[in-house]
Amino acid sequence: MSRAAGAIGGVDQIGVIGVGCVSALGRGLEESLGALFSATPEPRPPTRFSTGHAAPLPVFEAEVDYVEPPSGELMRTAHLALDAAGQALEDTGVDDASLGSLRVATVVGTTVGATLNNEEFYRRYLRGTAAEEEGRAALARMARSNPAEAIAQRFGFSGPLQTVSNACSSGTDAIGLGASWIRAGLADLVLAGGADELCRYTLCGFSSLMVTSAEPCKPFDRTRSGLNLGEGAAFLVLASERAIERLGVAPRARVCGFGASCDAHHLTAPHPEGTGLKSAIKMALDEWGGNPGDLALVNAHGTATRDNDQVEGRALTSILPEVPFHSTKGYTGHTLGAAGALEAALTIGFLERGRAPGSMGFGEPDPEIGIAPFVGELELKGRYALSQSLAFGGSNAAVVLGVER
Amino acid sequence: MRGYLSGLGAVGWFGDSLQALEKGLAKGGPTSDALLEPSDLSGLARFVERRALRRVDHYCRLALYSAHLALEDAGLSPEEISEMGERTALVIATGQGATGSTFRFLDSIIEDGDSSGSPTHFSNSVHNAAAAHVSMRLGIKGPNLTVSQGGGSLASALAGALGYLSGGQAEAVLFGWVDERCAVYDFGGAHTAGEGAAFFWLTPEPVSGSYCKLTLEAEPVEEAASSLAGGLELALSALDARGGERSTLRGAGLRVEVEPL
Repeated sequence: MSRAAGAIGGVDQIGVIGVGCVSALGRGLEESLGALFSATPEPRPPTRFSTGHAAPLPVFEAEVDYVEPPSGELMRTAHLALDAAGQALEDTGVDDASLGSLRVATVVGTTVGATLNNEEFYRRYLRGTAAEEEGRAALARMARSNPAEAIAQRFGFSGPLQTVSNACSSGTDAIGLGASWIRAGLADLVLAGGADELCRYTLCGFSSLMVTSAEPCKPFDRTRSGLNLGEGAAFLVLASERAIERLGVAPRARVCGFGASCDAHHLTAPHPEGTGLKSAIKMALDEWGGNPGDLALVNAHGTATRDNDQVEGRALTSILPEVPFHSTKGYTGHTLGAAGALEAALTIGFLERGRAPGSMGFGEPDPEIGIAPFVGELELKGRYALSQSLAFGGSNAAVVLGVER
Repeated sequence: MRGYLSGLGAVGWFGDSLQALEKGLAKGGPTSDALLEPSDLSGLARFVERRALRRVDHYCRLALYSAHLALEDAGLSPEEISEMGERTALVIATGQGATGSTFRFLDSIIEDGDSSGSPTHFSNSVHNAAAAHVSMRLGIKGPNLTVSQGGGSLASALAGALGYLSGGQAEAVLFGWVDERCAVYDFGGAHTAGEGAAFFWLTPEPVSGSYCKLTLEAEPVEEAASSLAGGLELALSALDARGGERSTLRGAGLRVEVEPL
């Protein structure tokens, strides 16, 4: 493989020419960063649905009404994806005709977005009051709502499609896989990201595992009691060097390295020593080829569950003990399949501004973790950062991002 | 992207042998009645003790059985796979995921209340539960990917698998497809292809016993078409390749050429 202009380390770095996101922080990277640096977000009981829990479980809802049109033709996850993808494309500044001349692929991470998420229909099915036509309509809606398919249809892309269903690491995986598709010559541009909506299914599910908190989450804190779910979507427009030259655009960031692994240990719990996570981080650092000491920041998965934060702390202590880290879950909640992409988008924003917000919710170090996130705003020393995700099934994914600053 | 298919196993309505698959798909394919037949997974006991399957649902058992058959066909023992650890990737395509556990979890909150959902059914309902169980059983610690791209899932996931080989993230890939029958989906008229699983051992170069060469390229998505049972199509194409036949599979904006060696 010939070396592209963006190559400095183990593999060719892939340009990021557009970013878009939507979450409880707001719509668009600028608005989201503004909220993140100036406000103290708080999770609240869901407004679009209710559950029968004795005390409502607080969540981070995207407070926008444009994501659920009256027709109900698409699932909310698809609408979140379409909004963030549209923003990312607009951010490139590239006109439709120029986009149309390129091979554009779509890689999207999701959990809810690839399932038949229609509890009302299922309840009628159980009662025997659902019509067959209703069943066909529910399945057709699900097929139309496949996030990669919905984006390609909306924007007229004819490149390869992939919806990644790796649970909570899906968004980070999508970025790494998208970059690999460009290196392999499958596409000139890849719209890579993740999307997931809040719904009763996931809220009741995580509650059944006893990992949800009735309070605002406290990643890495000694008294942390679980996660708050959130919703959102984020996309990066990844571009080959050839496409960057042809479009005459300047990348705002680069995907410098990616690593993925599996614990092969437990269906829902991470390996206690974080062996898989360490492997994914090392793989990402090797692909980058830079000096780990040049990392300005780690955006950790940091869900605020007992197990996750302890394992991440052990892995970071082992591999990157001197690199400042934080979790942004206290601002957005855990957005599941969107989380890795949303955190990558925010991390690019932090690197561009040269500063990052403290780990919301953290107050007291946990001796069992042995390492603590930074609190208060941090001035970043460097142009590179690592964002990492862990998932059900033992999947781990890590991506090194860099900016030109 | 390219790779070599060097071992395969398949289970489903047709049985659990490659001869049964060839016979079942011969002469215009199965009847609709045949597609409604449940898969006989009793042979899984050859590979996994019954006690270890207590919390493993039908979707994951389909994948586990087929994965073991593919490795057996490739002449590899589970111990040899485990020793490869991080050097092996696991990639699974599924059109619909673990539908059985998904609806059993919904049943649990409908019948017992939102605070009493079944954690076992919830954790088994994620689409990558099959990949989790296969990786745990075989000690596969490299990249782990599950793809749900409707009828294009097989081709899309294959792009991930061959990408790990060509990118050097894995020395071999256990690649598979799995989908299970579900009464709710049947109600909506979705299961025209029946249930099943097909797994493949993919290597970057041909080895003794390789079936065929796989080459994957992008092609405009409007020209692509595939079925939910893409894994069975690939298995049959690999068997045909041994007889000297070439074939082409399509889906998700990708074209897969299956060529004899």
